[in-house]
Amino acid sequence: MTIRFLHEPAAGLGFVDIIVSFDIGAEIDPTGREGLAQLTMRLMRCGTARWTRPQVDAEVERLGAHLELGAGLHRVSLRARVIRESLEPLSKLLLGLVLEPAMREEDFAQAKRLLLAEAVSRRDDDQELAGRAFRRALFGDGHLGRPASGTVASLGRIERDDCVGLHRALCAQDTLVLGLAGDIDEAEARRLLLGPLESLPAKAAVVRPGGEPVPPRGRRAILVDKPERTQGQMYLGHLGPKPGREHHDAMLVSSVAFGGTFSARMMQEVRVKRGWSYGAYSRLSRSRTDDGWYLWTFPAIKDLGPCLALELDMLRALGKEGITGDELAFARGYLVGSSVFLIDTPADRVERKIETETLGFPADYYPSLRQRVEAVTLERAHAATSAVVQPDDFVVALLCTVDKAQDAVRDVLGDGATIEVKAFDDDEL
Amino acid sequence: MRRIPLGRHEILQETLENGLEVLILADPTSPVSALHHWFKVGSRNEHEGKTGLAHLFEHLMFGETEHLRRGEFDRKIEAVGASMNAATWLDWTYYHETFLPEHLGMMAELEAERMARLVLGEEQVAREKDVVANERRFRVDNSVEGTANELLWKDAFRVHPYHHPTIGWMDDILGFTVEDCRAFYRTYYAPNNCCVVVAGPVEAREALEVVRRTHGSMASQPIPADELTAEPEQDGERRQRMSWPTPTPKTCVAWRSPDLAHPDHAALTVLSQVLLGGRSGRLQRRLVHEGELAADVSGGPGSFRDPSLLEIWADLREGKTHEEALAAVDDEIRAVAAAPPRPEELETARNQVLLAFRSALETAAARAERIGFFHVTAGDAGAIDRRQRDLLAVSAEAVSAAARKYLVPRTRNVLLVDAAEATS
Repeated sequence: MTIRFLHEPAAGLGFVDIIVSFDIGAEIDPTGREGLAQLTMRLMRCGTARWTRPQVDAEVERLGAHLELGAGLHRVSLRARVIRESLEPLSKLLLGLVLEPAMREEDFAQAKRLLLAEAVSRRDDDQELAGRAFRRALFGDGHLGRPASGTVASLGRIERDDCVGLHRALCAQDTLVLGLAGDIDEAEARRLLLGPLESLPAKAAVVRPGGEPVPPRGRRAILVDKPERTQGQMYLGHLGPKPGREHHDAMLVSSVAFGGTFSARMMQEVRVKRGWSYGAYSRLSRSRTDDGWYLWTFPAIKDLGPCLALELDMLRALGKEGITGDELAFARGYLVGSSVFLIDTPADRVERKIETETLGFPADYYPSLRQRVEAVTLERAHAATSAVVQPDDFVVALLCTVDKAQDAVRDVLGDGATIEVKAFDDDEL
Repeated sequence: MRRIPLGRHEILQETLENGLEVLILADPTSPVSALHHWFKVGSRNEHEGKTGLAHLFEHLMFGETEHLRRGEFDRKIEAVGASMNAATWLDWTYYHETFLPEHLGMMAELEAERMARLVLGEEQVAREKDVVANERRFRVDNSVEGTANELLWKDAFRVHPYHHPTIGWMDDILGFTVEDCRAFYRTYYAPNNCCVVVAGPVEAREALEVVRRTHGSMASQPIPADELTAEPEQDGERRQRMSWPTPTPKTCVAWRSPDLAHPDHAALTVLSQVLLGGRSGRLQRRLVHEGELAADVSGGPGSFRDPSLLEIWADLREGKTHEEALAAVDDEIRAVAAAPPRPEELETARNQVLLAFRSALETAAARAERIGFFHVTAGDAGAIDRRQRDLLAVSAEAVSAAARKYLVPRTRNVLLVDAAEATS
């Protein structure tokens, strides 16, 4: 396979977006070394034989650019935005970082210390902690449940040679998706970036883990205990179908009707009627495998139990009765009308194409989304909610001050539920 | 009709007979349109005991009107796939929709309906007070940054209304009455206290006619004059400490800084870039990447109608102390005050200004936001282009002079967040 090249030109825009993405990510981090892909990307930006790390940082910014390198679960990416005038020198610098990163020992040690510090700082973010706990509860210890950013313990085990090895194994033509958007024409894109990147090895020496996640069985909750909370952060859900799988489109429409907008059922019941949570949403994740379909609310501690009970009642009703005809018409109209925002800018358009390539969506997933949404009938929507929504098999992740909320959660979940408590600063979260 | 240049675009500005200001940016290449309503009222217009009213009112604007049942406003907009929301801050409140171009007329009609015919009853106000109380828990009471920021501004401003948070004190939120809300609506939601911005693939005169048809019959009202008490000059450092269940300490330093329209604001913005920009700013290197005292450092000058604060926030690493962070900040400020930044630092700042300026005008919604913000905060949408020119013209000596003038111990406010016991 050759490099996949995606281009969205917009002459006169005044800047260019450059995305160099490899379609395998933290999913291949070895068990116990979670964070390897992330640390490797951070190390790649630390210079080349010619440029030291401080020189790279200074030069990128002097050129009027912004540069981020990072790892997600299913891809690693270098993303830059640069003013048109500096496109050529920035391109040369980026090529050096991708093709010949120096990966010096001292830069490795420093990048690792910064990632460790960030891992600790993230414990301030209640929503992020609840979100991590939800993935842990949903996917367990498998590669989908482990954090791409790593833990303090797992980052501590990573050596420089691990990063050097991953860079060599991962960065190849068959894993590379190159996206360019904005003030750059195709000939220039090929000359400045695509051509030089063809010096990468033809094939990557890593294999993406296969298989689909196993749906959770029974009722399982992780309570993340943090002192002095007056409000909880609550995720409730289970797996949902990935793009291209049966029921995906109809579930997408049903989820929008259920909790995707201000007008949706969840917002009306939780916020408008009861005033329990400022936000009340449901979302079907789009990923390479089946991923989470979840409800997210953040009620006051006193309302946690009633809010959880209400959400479970709503889940049962959705599974049993589905959405209404009015809700279907509304959700279809919303999704059709809002589909333009997915491709509003050249950067948006190229990002949708990169997403499709790197996450393995059907090639026409975004181009035909509007038509597919319009084709969802009430019968198909009911079939989807009946098959997908599992009111007896779900996971809950709740960040709160546990002694103030635990009894209410136990009462709602009932006998037979598995409830695990973790401290907010537990490194395994 | 006034014509205002904005990058490669042009804004057309017209004032209707009722005082409503209309600003239109026509761009045939945009696939979507944006409609913004910016009201010149924010938490700076509130009084002690009634804090948070502008923000609560923003929530109430999504309620029932004379011709729309509860929820119908949202539903009509979302049914055609439009996105919408609103925000309130110190100086303003704004409402925005982004949508397919053919829906401009409907959006303008809906906005005009709630601007002129909102229904405010006991039930609506009671319910929305609960929602706002929950929003406060989310943004402030359960957030170390939210709580720290509130404490910082409360102490830095003791007379001026920037003292109180836009979301309001919890007791005030829970204490509002229907009459408070009705009085606020009557006072501030008038056409002569509002500017409407339209951006997208529109024909300017047609867009203006849409706004005239939907908004032109509203009556203007007397708007209370600003009766703000200027904050007295600060004469000595103010220092506070707070404890929080956080894994790491946070150090904040803030100085009094001028309003957005002040001639020194551009130099302070470039100074902030030299100190805090990207990964190569002096404090980024000193605190994060080379000194390894902090996991992150951020900040910059406030962009408000009245003088505010230039803030520096450092999220310290485990085992590092406030004293180390403060000493590093002091060192770097002394250095930039004593000697102008190097030419390459100034070049970096200028190119980052260009990148930010062009990026900020990427979408119809972003353009409408810039236009409304500058019109309301700096008094003129023409200030967008002027500000870019001012930023590009800042000299190295002006950066040093700004450091000497503003980043002085006498007007410094320090807030130290200590990590409380880590587990419950």
